[in-house]
Amino acid sequence: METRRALFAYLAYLLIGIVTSALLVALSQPIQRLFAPISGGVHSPRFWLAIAISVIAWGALFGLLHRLPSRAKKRLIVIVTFVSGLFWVLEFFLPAHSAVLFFWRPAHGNPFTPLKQPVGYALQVIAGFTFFLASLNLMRLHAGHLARLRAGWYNSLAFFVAFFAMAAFGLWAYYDGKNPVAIRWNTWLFTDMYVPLTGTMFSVTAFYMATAAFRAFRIRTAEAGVMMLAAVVVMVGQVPLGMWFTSSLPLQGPASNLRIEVIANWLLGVVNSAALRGVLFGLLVGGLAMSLRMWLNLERGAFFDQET
Amino acid sequence: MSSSQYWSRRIIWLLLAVVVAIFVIRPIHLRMYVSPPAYSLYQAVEHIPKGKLLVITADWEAGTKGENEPQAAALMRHALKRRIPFALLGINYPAGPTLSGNIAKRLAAEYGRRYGVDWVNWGFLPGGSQAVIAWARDIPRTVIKDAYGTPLNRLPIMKGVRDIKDIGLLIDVTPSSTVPIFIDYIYGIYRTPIGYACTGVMAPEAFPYLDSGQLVGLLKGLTGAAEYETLVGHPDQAMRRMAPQSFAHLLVIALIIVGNVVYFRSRRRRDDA
Repeated sequence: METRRALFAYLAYLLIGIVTSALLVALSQPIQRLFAPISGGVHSPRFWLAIAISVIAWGALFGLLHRLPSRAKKRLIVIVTFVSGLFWVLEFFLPAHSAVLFFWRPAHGNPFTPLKQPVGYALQVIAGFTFFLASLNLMRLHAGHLARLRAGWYNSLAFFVAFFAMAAFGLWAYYDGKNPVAIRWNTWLFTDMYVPLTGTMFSVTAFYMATAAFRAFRIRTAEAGVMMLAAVVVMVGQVPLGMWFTSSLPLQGPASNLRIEVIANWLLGVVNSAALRGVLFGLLVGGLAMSLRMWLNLERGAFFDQET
Repeated sequence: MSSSQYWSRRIIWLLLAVVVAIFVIRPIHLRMYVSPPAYSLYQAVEHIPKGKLLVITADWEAGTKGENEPQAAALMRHALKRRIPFALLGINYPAGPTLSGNIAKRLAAEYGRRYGVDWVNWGFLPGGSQAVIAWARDIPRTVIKDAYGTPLNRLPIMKGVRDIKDIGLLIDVTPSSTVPIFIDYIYGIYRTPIGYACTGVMAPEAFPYLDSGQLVGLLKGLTGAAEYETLVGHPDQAMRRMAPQSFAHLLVIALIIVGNVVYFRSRRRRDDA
């Protein structure tokens, strides 16, 4: 029974793949036109018309998708994932030019390659939705904190003030770049507040690293001892004061290999590289297996599997 | 948290703040050794073919300003000094081109170089790897306008710049893992040389690419910036920050040793009991 179901699923994949590929090739020109940037930008009425149509169309589509039962949502996601992956597989693995495979094309070029750019634009649009969703989630969370006056509600208030102030003055300065008020406020918010605040947040981690070095780096085993020795050599070998310790050794000849910066560079360039290559190989093979599982819907517990 | 833990943390923070502050207020000059990866990046910039652009990415923002700003400044100074035309491009952080552009404006004024002739700020290009692929094929049609809203075709520096073949070298200045995008889609397809200027913590990951020749050179954090300033012959902010960094490193090593001494003593006491 399981084998028959798997066979049926792969036949369905094959059919979907053939139909989608044929559709992509046939609709190549309209797809390219649909996802091309609109000339004239914000000053063109076509730009605002396209935005209005997109918002209405996407709103209707998402409303429809939201009403689907979980099983149908899962099937739809499985198909979309498979088709999306299939496009990149076909584009990458089929040859760039082939008189046999692409006999009907003017230069016998891969018909999927011209679609790479519109697909790239579509990916940007989808990425834009993630920003929208993230902002919406943050707002819902902080609005809840504010409405119930939970502990630390003033942080939520700070979030709303910062969010809308940065968005308003940033957009004002972008679209009215010659307005001195917009520029002054944008500079004050971005250069004088955001930049030092981000720098401060990152700098504070140095203090935690120092306490972590004192409290956590314990030589409990021989391996930990080797690791600490390597860490100390690399740390000392990266700074001029550390280099000063072996500065009496010559810069050329066999004795130069004993200079601390040379040992540090050897550790980074040879020992670290070899270890990192091993890690990368493992990671990439794992990533490939994981991608295949996701693409062919072999991964359990994904795509609404948790929902009843 | 015990009282000793509470106070030991605060003492360590105070020690670190004092060590860094002393050498920030009273800088001392330390001699810099130039590592082979920094030297090879310098050589790659020196040997950019005439008529080709140097691209310095602006994929950093305020959080890593301490390391990436001196790196970007040293690279731009080299290009301005040698009159190598360069372009700034951001693909990861929207704030990056603004910050890098401010450095370029300051340094260009110092060397009497003009915007649009000697350097250009292409601004932020959204879309990650897809945008890079499109950019490599057709630069003017992908970037369209510079960071200040001027159409690229009005800038003299863009004359004859069509695609990636007109780029002599691309240096990714970033704390993020954007360099594989350039290695995969720029070096991998067009063989355009790629350099890398990253934060100290990202440097170990870059060495396999350096070893394979996919990167022509590397600046490792603030040390890399100081090495490049030494090569350019203009010690600047990175060199000034080397003393605080050196002593902070030594302090961390001392803390590791003290932490282990305390640990072994307490373990021996426990075993004796």
